Amino acid sequence: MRMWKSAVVAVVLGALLFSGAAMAEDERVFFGQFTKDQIWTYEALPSYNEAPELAALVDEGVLPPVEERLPAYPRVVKTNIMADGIGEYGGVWRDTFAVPNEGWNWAAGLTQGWFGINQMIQEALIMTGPMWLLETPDPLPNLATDWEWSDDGRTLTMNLVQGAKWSDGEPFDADDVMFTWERFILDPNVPSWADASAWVYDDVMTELEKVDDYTIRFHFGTPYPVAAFYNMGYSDFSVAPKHVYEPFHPEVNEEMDYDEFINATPAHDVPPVVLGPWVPVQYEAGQQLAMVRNPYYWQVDEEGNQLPYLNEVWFTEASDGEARTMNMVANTGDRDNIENPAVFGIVNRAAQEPDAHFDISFGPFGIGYQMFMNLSVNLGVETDADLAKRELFRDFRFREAISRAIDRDAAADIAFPGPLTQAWYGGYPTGSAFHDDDLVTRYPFEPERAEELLAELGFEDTTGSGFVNWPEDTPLAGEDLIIEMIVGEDAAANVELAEIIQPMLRRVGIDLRVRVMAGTVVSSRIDAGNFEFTMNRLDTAVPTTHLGNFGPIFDTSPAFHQAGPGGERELMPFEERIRELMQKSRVEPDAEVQMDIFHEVLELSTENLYTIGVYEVRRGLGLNKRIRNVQPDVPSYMYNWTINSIPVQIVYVPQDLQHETRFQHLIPTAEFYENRLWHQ
Amino acid sequence: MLSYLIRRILYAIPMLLLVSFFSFIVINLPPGDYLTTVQQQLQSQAGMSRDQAVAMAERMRARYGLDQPFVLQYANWIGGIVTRGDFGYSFQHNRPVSEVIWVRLGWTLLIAGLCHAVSVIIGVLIGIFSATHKYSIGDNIATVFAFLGLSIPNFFFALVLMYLLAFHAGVHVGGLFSPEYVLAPWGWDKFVDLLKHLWVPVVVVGLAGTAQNMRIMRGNLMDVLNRQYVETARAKGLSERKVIYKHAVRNAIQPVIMYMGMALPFLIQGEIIASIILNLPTTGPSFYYALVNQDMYLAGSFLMMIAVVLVAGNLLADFALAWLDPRVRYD
Amino acid sequence: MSSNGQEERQKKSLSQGQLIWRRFKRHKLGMIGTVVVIILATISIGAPFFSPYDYTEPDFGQAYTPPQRVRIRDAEGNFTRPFVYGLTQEYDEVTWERVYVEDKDEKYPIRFFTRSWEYSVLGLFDTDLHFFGVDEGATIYLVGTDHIGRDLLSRIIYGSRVSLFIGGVGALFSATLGSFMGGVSGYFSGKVDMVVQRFVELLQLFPQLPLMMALSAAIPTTWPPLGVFIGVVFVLALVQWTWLAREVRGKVLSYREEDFVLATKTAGANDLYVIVFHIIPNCLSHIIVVLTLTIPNLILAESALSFLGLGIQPPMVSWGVLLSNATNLQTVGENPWIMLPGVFILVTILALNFMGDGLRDAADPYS
Repeated sequence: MRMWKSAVVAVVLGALLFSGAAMAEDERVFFGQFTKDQIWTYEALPSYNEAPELAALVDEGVLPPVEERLPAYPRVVKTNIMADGIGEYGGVWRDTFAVPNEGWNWAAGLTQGWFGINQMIQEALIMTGPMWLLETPDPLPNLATDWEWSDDGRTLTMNLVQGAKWSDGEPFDADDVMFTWERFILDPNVPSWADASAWVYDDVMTELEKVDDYTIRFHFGTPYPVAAFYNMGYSDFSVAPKHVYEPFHPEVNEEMDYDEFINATPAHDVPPVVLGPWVPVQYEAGQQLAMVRNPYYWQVDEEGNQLPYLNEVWFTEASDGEARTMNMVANTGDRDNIENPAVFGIVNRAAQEPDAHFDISFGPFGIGYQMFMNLSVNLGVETDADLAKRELFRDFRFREAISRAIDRDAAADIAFPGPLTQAWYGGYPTGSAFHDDDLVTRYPFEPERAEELLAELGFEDTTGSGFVNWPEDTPLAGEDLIIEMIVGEDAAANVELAEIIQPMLRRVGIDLRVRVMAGTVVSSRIDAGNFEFTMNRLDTAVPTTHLGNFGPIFDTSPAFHQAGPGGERELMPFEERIRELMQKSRVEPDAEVQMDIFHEVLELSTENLYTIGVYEVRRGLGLNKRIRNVQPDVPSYMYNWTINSIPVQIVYVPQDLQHETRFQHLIPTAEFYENRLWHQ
Repeated sequence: MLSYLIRRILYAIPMLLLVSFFSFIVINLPPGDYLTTVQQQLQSQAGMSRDQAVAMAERMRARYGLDQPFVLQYANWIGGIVTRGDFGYSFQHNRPVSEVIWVRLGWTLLIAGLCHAVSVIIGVLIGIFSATHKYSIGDNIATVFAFLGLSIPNFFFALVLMYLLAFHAGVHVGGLFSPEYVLAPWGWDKFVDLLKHLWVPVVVVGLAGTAQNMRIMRGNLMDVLNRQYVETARAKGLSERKVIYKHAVRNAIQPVIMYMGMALPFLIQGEIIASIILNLPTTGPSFYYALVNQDMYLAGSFLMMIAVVLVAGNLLADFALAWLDPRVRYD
Repeated sequence: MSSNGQEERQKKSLSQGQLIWRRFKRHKLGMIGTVVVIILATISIGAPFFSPYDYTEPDFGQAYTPPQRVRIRDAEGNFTRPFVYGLTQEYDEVTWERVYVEDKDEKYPIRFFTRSWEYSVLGLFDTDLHFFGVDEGATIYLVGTDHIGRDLLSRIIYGSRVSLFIGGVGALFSATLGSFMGGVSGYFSGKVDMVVQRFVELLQLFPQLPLMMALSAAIPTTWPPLGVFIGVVFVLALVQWTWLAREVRGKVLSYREEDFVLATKTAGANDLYVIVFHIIPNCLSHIIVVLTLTIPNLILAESALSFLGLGIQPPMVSWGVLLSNATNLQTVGENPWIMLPGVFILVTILALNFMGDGLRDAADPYS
């Protein structure tokens, strides 16, 4: 009797789960619903409000009034994208990070700790994070409010937001952009994230010109190089404050050298000068980073309230990834990316406790686990045996045999028994906007076919060892077919998958030897092309920004078919075609044509088993129940991580649930920026 | 005794040099270097594609001096230590090695010192009880408890404890403070918060040490209690208490003293995995990640520190032994 | 008359060894411990015979099976021969966990001396005889399975070989070398002491962790797991003996001035004789205690190495590997039976310890 009832419950819940997007009760869909203007615009509003703590500082006379702090046409974030509407001021966001903060000079390639910190303080020309909200994915305006191509497509004129100020009150204008361009990106002595070579189109270096204080102009060597937009976003073109760093540049100040330039603002030198919604105000290395709202933030909501809503952000430093999960469960942290299928069960169980403080939701399939086979005959080939193996891998029949030997359903089931994982056949994860099920060629589990194919290739068990042997006319004649798979021990899911695949391949006669090593060692060997098989986790569902993961667009990509020393590489015909397509995509302005291009790449990739996909996982997000305005179907990573996808400045906590703040006395006013090394 | 001390120190110097060179080699032995870590991070955190990450890592090579020959790097590093007390630069933290270590040293000494003190005191006391009540129920329970502590890897115990606290008690785990107190000024509340976190590492790390000291103390004391001079002391009419503490324990405690010589290096690198799991701001995790990421000056400096402390610890233990036991002579 | 008297005297006194054995027999806990150790050793040596499953063979459909209950009463409450119910796997939509449900209609009696998977004995001949098992189509997972459906009991049994070897041989090696070197160092003091102690210190300064990392990166694929294993034992034992050496040295430094040493030397014994037959036996009880502590230390050190990804390579398995595999949130929270190897370690160590206690008491001339 009880069995019957629980079966009904199971069916109902199962239907809810299978319905696609979220586990939460909220069924609204934000994905692909909006145009750019429906997300935000730049306009003046009749009146503005500010957080009470800032109002108090204005009354004291240490901050200018809000109208003077905001730009003439601030960005107005529309209520459309706010899941719970206009927010309330106050509260804290508690998070965790696990990489040391290297300093505040982000344009010089230093990280502030990742895990969302970088995204909370840096601002770039355009923004890609919220692109998932758009009907047609296209870069969103950020510091650049709008732009226009010239008729011949070789010039791009961009207008910048007018009257915005850095957190110390200094104005932001085209000088900062030019400084970032000339002294960081172009200067070969500065290890900026994207360097000059990324801006070369048709062998012509791009030029950037300042037209006036709020207008800049790019001159390209080829018409409509739309890929350039992806170099104008987060990290690649996060704008640096000229007034802070200019005194440190060796070409401006002879007493300085590049080391001092790069380390001009070390981690303990707080508060730094930022354009983002929060300003770091206290940092204890190895312990915690505390941020408070930026009084000069240049964005408002539709009612004129200056963003952000949250007063403070605390990032606790940890050394282990599981710390963030445990913090979320124990209600001392506010979010976690739930990506490891192994913990889905216990996190879910914790979320269902009656007094649980957090909710979890799962988005579309966004992570794929695949097998790489080294297809290069030029790199990392030292012996005849190596060459023989590479040529074997390049033979399509062998790749098909491998694909047929793998029981993907079993692998997905072992990773997680429910519908959050499923078999995957390569290309892009199925949650990707560029995925099209009809174009995927599948070679599913059929071990007899695998054995047939191996026999066709001349491999038979002539020694009775249980493994097939190399044919007579090969350098390894008569020996067992041994293949080595290297996996990094820090990627537990990869290790587990290798353990599962090993017996599957053994069953068809291939002696797969799994070597688990330190992650950095595996990475080195892959760089040197010195490997046979490896497991790879595909983290990105967007091929346009990560061409190198999917095709031979550069010498060092893809990882499993790199060019040899001197640049030689023997691409197979379908690879040639993929490269051609990718090169086209970089200069193709029409989004629909782009989609067609990547559809064809998908077709070629899966048809030819460029990689062997095994299973894919839905990305999950855990959030503390206090948090409001996070869209129920926000992907935890699509064009950027969650922080930039919401985007985070619209998040708020209702007043009755807010935590006490502790750093409001450190809100940076003029005196916090006096007597600093770079202050004039 | 003074000449003995001088001789020990003189022997120590070439040994430390040898160890430092060997350590440097071993750290750099695995393929790749710090930039390999950077490259991985660029891909996983910055969302760079592989080719971008590779190119960027290459650009940083000169900045880190990783394009120079190995022996030159070592010579520069040792030269810096000897002439300027400069232990080099940590790539990961982007600051001098001495800063990185110094910041963590305070907590390391506190936690390890506390663990050690607790494990010695409790271990010795239980050991004495065990030996004097040989094979009683109490002794057997203590034995089972001791071996429980010795058979469970402490990182495993740490994880179980963290899980129970986080998932079932809803308590903040890991680190030494709850997020609201980390950067707060010192006060009673913060102190209480510290205690609420501190007991976990002390229990986890101290457990094995307590068990070990207990077993050793028990074994040795049982021996000593059977010796003739103890019988003599009893026959002389001394109280049982005095017999045990003044005579027997003083002899039995020797190996515990010798063991303390080993404790000092343990203070710095001890219980790495448990410290990582427990998120302690100590030197252990820092050392481990320095090795994994091949942050070579940081790792090399740690190894040097451990070596120096170990030599000093052995020296101290030897002196303590001579002081406690008048029969011991080193020449 | 004198020869007869001598003969009589010889008949009446027992040898030292026989005396020790007599005293040992009286030590109850020691005897229990010894019996347990012998049972463990037997199971370990006869691992294939006692393991119901091949420890390397996965069964993807049986992942994370909890330990099966062996029942002796059937549905009506009558006593029958031991049996297990069949299992079917289901998925719980609410908790997102696998659930294995017993199928009360399928009863599988446990059979002894049954036939199942094949193995070879000492490479001489093949057989498929096993101590216990069940019929085809049934499962007998007494300790459950791991994430890819391998029987945990079989893995524990095979793991005992590696762990007992590491613990036993490693501990014996370090005890022997440690006590001898410590004895020599302490007895001669002075220059000999200085040299030996510096050598000991050098070994202690050896950067173990980085060395293990470097070695594990450098090992070629063609090396069999056995080679790696020997390397691990070597590195672990290499440093372990130094601690005992220092402790024994400390004790010996105290003893060397004692009367019994002087007496033995006066009787004409050379230094080596004094060290091995007089000084070390006085340290014996401490050495035995340390021995019983070293064994778990070595097993756990190996476990830590496995946790860091260094050390024993699959398909070899040890208790240390099993424990390090159990150190993650989903085991603790969802599949706790994976932690059971820890119980086996504890029982083994307790047994060894009680055996050591008995030995120590029996050998102690003063008790």
